[in-house]
Amino acid sequence: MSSLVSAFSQAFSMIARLDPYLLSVVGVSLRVSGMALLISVPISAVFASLLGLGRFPGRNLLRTLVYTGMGVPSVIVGLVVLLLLSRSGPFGGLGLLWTPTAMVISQCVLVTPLITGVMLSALVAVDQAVSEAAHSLGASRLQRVWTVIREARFGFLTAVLAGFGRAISEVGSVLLVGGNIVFPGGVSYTRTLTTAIVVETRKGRFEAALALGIVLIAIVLSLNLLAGRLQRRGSW
Amino acid sequence: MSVILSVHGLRFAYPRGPEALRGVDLEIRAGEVFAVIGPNGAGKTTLFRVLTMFYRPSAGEVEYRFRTASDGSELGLRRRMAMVFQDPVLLNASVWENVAYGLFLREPLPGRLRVRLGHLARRLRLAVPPSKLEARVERALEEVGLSGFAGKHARALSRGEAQRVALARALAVEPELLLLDEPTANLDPPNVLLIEEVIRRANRRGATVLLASHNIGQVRRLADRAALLVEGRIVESGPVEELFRAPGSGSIREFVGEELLT
Amino acid sequence: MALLATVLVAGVWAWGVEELVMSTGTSVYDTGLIDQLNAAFGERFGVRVKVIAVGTGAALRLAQEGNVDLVLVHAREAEDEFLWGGWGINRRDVMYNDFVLVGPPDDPAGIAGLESAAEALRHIAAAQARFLSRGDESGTHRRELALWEAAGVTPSAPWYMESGKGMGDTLVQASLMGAYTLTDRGTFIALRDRLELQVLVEGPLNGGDPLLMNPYGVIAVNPALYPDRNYVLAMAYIGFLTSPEGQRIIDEFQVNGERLFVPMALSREPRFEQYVPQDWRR
Repeated sequence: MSSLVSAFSQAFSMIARLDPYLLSVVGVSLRVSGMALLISVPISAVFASLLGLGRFPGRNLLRTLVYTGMGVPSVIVGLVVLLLLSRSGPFGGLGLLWTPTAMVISQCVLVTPLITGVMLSALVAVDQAVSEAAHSLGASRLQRVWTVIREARFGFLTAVLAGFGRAISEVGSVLLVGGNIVFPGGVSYTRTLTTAIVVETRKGRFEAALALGIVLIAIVLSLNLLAGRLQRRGSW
Repeated sequence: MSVILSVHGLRFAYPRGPEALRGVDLEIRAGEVFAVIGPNGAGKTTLFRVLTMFYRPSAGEVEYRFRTASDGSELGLRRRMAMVFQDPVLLNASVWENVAYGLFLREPLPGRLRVRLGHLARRLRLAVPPSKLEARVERALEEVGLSGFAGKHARALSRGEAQRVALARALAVEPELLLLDEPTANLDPPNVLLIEEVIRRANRRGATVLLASHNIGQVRRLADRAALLVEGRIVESGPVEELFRAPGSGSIREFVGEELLT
Repeated sequence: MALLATVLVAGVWAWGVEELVMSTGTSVYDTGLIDQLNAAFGERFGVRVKVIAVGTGAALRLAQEGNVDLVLVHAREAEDEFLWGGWGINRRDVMYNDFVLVGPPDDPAGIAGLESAAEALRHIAAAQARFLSRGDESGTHRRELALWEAAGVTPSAPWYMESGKGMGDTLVQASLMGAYTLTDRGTFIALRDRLELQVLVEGPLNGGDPLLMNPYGVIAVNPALYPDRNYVLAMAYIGFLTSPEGQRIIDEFQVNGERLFVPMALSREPRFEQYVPQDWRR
């Protein structure tokens, strides 16, 4: 109990005095996960629209693959990306291992199926009648698709939030391909909030680890609150 | 009177299902209210879906002869029509967005942007005169008696209000052909009467109305001519008064009788 | 915007300064020694050092695949395999610390004060007292397995468990479980205040069992295999680590007032065995 209290006070004092180590770790976390989202959200939206509204052979198999991909452990994704980016791997020449770019890549691979899957469910859940109503009011094929996507927009927002939540809170893949690097003076290069938590835990500094966890949860929470407001505002 | 829609030998079957339309012939005249009556499962909704080109017929053809110029493309033809369904299907948005929907579909991008910018400007308390599109939305809402409802969310409406919004949405695009599939089913009498009045006024302004209905009273009140659809075939058609006064076959008597019983 | 920022930041890191990538076991990392060495090296050479702190097994594997410039590890047999494979060259002894056997204060197997680590393990096995192994192919794990072999005991379930984690994690877990474990002294001292564990069998640093000696070696990745790797800088780092300055930093490094590592690179006598695999004549 006392260590929980101490973790909270430590978290608040770190935030209050704008602890440079904390800031740089949070910065890397946000940059990497934000970038991963920026890339994977449009890709996922296209995938979900094709899989949800298109008609082509193999669609159901692809859907199943997407839903399976939602559950792949992040360590596995990290391992595959590590082997791909490894100097002796097929993309070793790019020299991307141990960089934030490598982390962005593995997080993209990790969250794209998740975001696609949630978007797909949202699209499939839109009443067939909406599509017919759009058609009957003079919508072109494209406008019809766009109407259904608009109807699924809250589901899309949920998908983005879920993707961000998974990206910023995953440890396995960023630890493997980023290398958890911090430069002298506590300047993070590839250390995120989650891998910093791993380090603190390994050092037995549970309160510090918890404090970082509190900061992580606070970030995700505030983002969700923001999104909740957006949803309640209604007409968009 | 010129013919606006002529249907020849129309057939349609659902995939792996029985044939729902088995050779339908119809001629709808410009400016009339034409009712399609018939028991449940007779194929009325299917017929409407083929007419709006939601389904492609397996045989036969539909010829659209709209007065207003169109490029003759499928989309051009479809945009001269609008449909209201038995169950109001509204978008998850405000009433205003719903009524403006069909207009936005037809508006090129600059016009759409102008409307959105106008909204924004008015939010910032700038006096911007309403655009043509906005005026039409407002008129359509007035038409169905929902003037003050623009800002309400569609989910907050009663069933009757929702159906009126759906009707306003169809009217806003000023269609030449208005397709109404059981528009007043499951509504309370005040809403039924109000909607019938709106249909009458729209027809008076020049819209041709194709009405599927179960309700003989409604058909008598609204329609000029009617056809009885049974098991995917038109079994009888003609001016409403004649049809009901002197039915030529047992089918109408049977249907009307059944209707009066239920 | 974010894209631009990311690219810019990555660019500055990538092109602004030269950098060296090394992989190490977790012990030198978690104690903080490596930070001090790298800060001094970085200042001297205007270089950034990236440290990938993993188990010794993973550290060597990453080097084998050409993902780092050099390794700093403590598992002589594995290092020798690495040299035999032609992946690494120019091995040097850097320093040593020692392993200690730690366990719960009530010492259910009664090993406190025993001279021989092997005998202590036999006691633990006989008492079926809980023992938490790293189980991660790290230097510490390999040493632990060698000790079991020396003890002539095959550890077995349910009293013997593997954590699969780094030293710090494993110590924390052993403390929570009331288990014995083998640890390097450095990590243990750094964490001691937070652990319910005591040193029960001493290593050579305190006059204990010489089998518990834990020497660290540094090896450059073979530039003939990976010409893109920064071999020149790797050799500069090895040079720095084994120089009087580097050795002084190691000698003076303390955690909680205790010295953790003993430098061993400087010697008046030639010590050729540090350059080649121990069985290089085979």
